[in-house]
Amino acid sequence: MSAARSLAVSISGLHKQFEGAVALRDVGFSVPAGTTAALVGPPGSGKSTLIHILLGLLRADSGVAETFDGGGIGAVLQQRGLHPARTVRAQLRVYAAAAGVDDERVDALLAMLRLDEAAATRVRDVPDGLRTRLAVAQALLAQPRLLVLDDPFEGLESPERAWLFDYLRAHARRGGTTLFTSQSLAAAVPVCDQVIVLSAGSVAYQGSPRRLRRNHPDRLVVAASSPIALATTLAAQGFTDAVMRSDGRLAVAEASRAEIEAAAALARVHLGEVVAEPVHPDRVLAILTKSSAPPAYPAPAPATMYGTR
Amino acid sequence: MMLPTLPTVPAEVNRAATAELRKITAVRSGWMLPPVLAAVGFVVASASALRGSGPQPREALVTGTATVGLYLAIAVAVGAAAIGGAVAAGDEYRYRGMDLTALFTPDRNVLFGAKAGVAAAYSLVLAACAEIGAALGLLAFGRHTVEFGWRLVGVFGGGLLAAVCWGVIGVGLGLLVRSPNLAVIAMAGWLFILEPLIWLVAKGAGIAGVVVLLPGSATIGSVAVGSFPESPFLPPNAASAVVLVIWAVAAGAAGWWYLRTRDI
Repeated sequence: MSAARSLAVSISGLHKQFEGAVALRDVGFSVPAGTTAALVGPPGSGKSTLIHILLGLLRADSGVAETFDGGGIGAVLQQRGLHPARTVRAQLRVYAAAAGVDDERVDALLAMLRLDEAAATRVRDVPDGLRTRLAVAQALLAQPRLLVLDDPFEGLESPERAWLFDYLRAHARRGGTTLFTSQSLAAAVPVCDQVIVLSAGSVAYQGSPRRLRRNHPDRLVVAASSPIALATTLAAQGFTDAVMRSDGRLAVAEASRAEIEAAAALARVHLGEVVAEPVHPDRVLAILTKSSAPPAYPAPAPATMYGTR
Repeated sequence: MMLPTLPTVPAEVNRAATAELRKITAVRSGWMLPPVLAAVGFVVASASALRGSGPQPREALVTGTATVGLYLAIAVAVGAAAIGGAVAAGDEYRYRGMDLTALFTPDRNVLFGAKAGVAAAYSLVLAACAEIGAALGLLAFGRHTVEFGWRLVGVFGGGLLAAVCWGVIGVGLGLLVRSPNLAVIAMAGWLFILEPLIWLVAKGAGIAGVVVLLPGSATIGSVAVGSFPESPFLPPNAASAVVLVIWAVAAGAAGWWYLRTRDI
């Protein structure tokens, strides 16, 4: 009971299929209150289906999806639900009425999300990034404790994403909880405490970004007098993930520096500089989901690839 | 002595209804339609008052051809109400706003009640505007040809009722087919193609009386107070109103059931 109280989201044994196609298969995870969790996966992996079930918009075939939302839920859906003929301000006022908040809160959100200049513009005439910000503003209307955001980075420019990251961090500091989806692990990890990777409707990974990084250590990029001979020797020793770079260097995964040096000695190859290079998170995502989908968003700077949380 | 107190509207209902009202007023057509309908009512009623004749007790239209404009204005208002209801419900699916609406108003009963209630109220406003415009036209140009009496009041009342009922029918169909266009096509197809066909078939089969149960007949019967007394297709005025209300309740109930039981 006390464990349930500390959770903001609890999902167990969730199963859903559409006309014979399995969308979710025995999905289970939980999100502790006051943390930020990212649900990551390629398109069609079941993220939006899960979010819709969690929000009560879809019924699951079996399993349980619960929120413990003492302070209400704010949601951004992948289909933003914006009426093209309404102005930005009118769109916000519609749901402000539904949430029972006044126009002062509307004006505050317009200012906070830098929507005030477009307040009188019709939704059909504003760019995608602004629509996403408007959807976020709608989610924040009632100052909810639990935020459920489906693909909130879609259409956002880098500064807007940075703003959203900052907001989510501040939300967590205030004790709020966020569950958001992303097609890109690189976009998600800087801000989350927990990553849940969905692959074809199943959980392929659940844990911290740090553990994910430990599971997928840095590649070592080596300069060698004969990269092909070195790669052949490494492969013979079981290190098959070695890729020749266009600059002639060899990028080797899963082998330690000592193992590479031993292989170089065996192959009588002179070894030059050896540089550690983090594996790009979206490469990790591709490995976990066995997909070849390109990153959905521009990659962040390497320093923030696995965040500091 | 304790005075009876009016029941308080629950906050959840109040919020949902305000949101629905704002959905209407947030788009240009929502706040432009009432004055446009008033102007249409005034113009068509004035034209018919100027050119038509007075009450004709032995003719089909007992209020006289001078009031044809009033009937036209009511027809336009009823059509606008039906379309408005269909758009109020269908646009939620067209622009995927129903997900958000259902999030902010998780109780689907309240959601439906707010949507249908506001659509009905807006339909009433549309019909009232059209009728006020028409009444002004009749007063301005038909004082010598139009008989201002209870019969005309009945026409006005029937028009208001028809608009409210068709507003609710529009909402019910919009929720059922989840598209404003399909809902409008369904209503227009029924009224202008299917129901006339049923009239013809029923007349040919010698059972013309059954068509009085159809929504088109009931609508005409509700508005045409005392007119077309010999028509086998029209029920008496009071019965028409009851039949029309039943159609509105049935369509609304179907939309409500669908909203409650199906995924958004």
